[in-house]
Amino acid sequence: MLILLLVMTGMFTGCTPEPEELLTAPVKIGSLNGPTGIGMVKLLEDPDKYQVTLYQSPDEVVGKIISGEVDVAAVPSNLAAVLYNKLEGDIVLIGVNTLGVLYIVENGETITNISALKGKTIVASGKGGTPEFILNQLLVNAGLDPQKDLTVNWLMNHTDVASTLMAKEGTIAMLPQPFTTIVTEKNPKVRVAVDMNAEWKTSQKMELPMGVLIAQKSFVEDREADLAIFLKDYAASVDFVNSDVKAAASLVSEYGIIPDALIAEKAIPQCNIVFVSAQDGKADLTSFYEIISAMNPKSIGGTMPDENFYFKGIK
Amino acid sequence: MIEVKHLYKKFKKEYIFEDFSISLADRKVTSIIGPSGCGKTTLLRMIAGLESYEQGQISGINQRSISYVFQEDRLLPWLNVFQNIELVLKSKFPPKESQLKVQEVLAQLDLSEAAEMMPDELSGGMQRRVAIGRALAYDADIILLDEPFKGMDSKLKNEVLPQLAAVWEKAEKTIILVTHDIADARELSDIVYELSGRPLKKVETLAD
Amino acid sequence: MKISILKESSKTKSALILIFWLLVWQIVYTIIGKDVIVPSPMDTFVTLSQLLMTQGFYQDVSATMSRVIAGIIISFAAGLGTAIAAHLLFIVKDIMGFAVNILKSTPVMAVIIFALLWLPSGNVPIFVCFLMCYPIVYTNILTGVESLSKDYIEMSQIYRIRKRDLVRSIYIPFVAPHIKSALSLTTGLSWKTVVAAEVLASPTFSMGYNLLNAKVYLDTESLFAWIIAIVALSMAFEKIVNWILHKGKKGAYNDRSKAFI
Repeated sequence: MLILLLVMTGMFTGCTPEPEELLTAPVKIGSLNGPTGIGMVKLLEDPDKYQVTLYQSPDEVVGKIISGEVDVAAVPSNLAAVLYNKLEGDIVLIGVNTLGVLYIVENGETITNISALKGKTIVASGKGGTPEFILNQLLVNAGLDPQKDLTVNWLMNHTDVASTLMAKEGTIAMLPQPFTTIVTEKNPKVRVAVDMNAEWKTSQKMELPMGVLIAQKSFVEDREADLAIFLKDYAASVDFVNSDVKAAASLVSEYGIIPDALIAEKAIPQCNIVFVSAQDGKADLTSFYEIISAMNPKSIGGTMPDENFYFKGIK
Repeated sequence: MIEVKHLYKKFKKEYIFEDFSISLADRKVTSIIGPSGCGKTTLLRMIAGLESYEQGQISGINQRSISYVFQEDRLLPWLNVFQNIELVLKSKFPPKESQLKVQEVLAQLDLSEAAEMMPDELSGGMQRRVAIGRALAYDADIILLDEPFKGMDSKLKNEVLPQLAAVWEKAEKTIILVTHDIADARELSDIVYELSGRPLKKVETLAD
Repeated sequence: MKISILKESSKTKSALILIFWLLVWQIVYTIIGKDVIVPSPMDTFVTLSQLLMTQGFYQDVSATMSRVIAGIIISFAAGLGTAIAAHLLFIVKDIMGFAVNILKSTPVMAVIIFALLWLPSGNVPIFVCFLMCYPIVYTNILTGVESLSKDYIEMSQIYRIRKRDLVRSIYIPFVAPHIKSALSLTTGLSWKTVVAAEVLASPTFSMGYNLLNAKVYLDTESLFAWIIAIVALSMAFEKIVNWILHKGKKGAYNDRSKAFI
């Protein structure tokens, strides 16, 4: 098997790879049940080529990367850097797939801006991922101390946050899309209080690269042809989702990511699903890492990733 | 006088006492003897009010205080000898007087040296003496003793019996003791009754 | 030569056993190779010593410790009260017996998740600790009270011992070993439940919160360092409690009661 792989890879080096529709082996992908999962909904249609598992929280995906159970994974952008550091370079960032999708949502009418969060308790999930650090940065920008001026109840995943928000009046939560759209559609009392992405753009003057795609270094080096096919198919899936929203919505509901197709149709355009190559996204990512690591170096695993972190493209 | 009249008592489904009567004179030492398991302890317990009976009447015990020396001693293992005896005096006497009484009783029974010892550090015979001492110190009108000399060798018995006899002669108490040893019964008591038959109906007085 | 080493003082033996296990750790670390799964003992201890120099460490430790103590105190107050009530009133025994049986079989995680729904995060650990420890306290004390032999009770009836002497001189000394064993059982359990609840509830000042952070940042050196700190403190706490319990009276009876512990 290995020899066959090597032979096939050998056949492709040194020339522009022809898009072969055949993979040497299925690609195992771990993703999340949010924009990243939506973005690859077309890949879900092809289970022979792509074994996609959708997880509820980044922790679970991270575990699969470490154990080697997945070849490619969608993770929060900061966790990609953490993994790069902790696994000593064994993963590669192959693209940015989600921009700003974070909101403060409230079952009530009291919050209108970030400063209003002072002294409050909010529910959120995804501790250790981008929401935590984006929130902290916005709090600091508004003159608040993230440690002292509010309490965050970290729940296990976004679904739990959504349930709590819809059930209890007065709850304030930090939620990404598509959950934001889902809760506001399902419960009219729940409204978007703060658009964190807009706030970020205003104060930091840059995009908010929240989610990225990473791959095992072994996968990038040994199965370059498969990677090329994957990237092409993935970009096509993203295009499809953004252009044919209705069709995408029905697929999304079919695969259970957002069970209600009508809500899915409303949510998808808000999900800021993109596909930016590693090299194109490098500048924004580097700035983002610098901002959040200044507040807490552990947010990116201690050190800024070097340039080997960013996939250089198919040779 | 303590009178038991026409007593009926069941144990499980059988009657062990059937129309049983006995009179126990006040201010005398009475022994009740009989074979093991015949019901002597049960009789004593009924007199003490620890056990109920189906039919009959026990009179002469109302309003009177009772001391009881149990077959198993029933000393509190976490209190020493002094404290065990003192405990039963707390409701009757003020502290200083209690302590004097305890010391008196210990001296009477030759237990003064053991005052600070714990029950499980004592021999069976000594534990018995402490139980007896407790009953004596309580100074009740009626003293009931269930096999008081169990666990005592003859040497010890020869020491204790005269002590007890002396104490009992001075005090004018009603003493009822249950035993299977005829010789002990004879030596100590004014009256000896023997229980026989199953169920127990009658009582025989043995010549003194 | 070998036999004499085995018979050396227990302090030396403990030290040697500790070194043995550290070597095992080092070997496992070398074999696995991935820092994110098992960190090296050296890095862990460096991290631990850095932690010990931060003020935050001691704030977190005292926060957790006060929750443990609060949980134990509440469990005992409730356990003692309900056990006595259960002994005196049958209906209390039936009602509480049912509740206690259910609590004993409920997994800690379920209790934590339930508590998270309606308690502030700082109190969740205390509540969870209480629910887990209370059944043990209640059962032990009730068993103690009920097992007081009828023999002693009859003796107290004959000698007309006053209620207050009955309680002070008979019930309390008899039930004391049961209370002590309940305490012994609950010290370890209370630490475990408090820290587990803290990981999920993540109150800002707590030892559990640091475990959670270490996990999400994949900071396994910190994770192991905190685990060592938690285990060490839990063991020290148990030792201190046991030492206090053993300062009892002399005598074979009291030594026998220590057999419970």
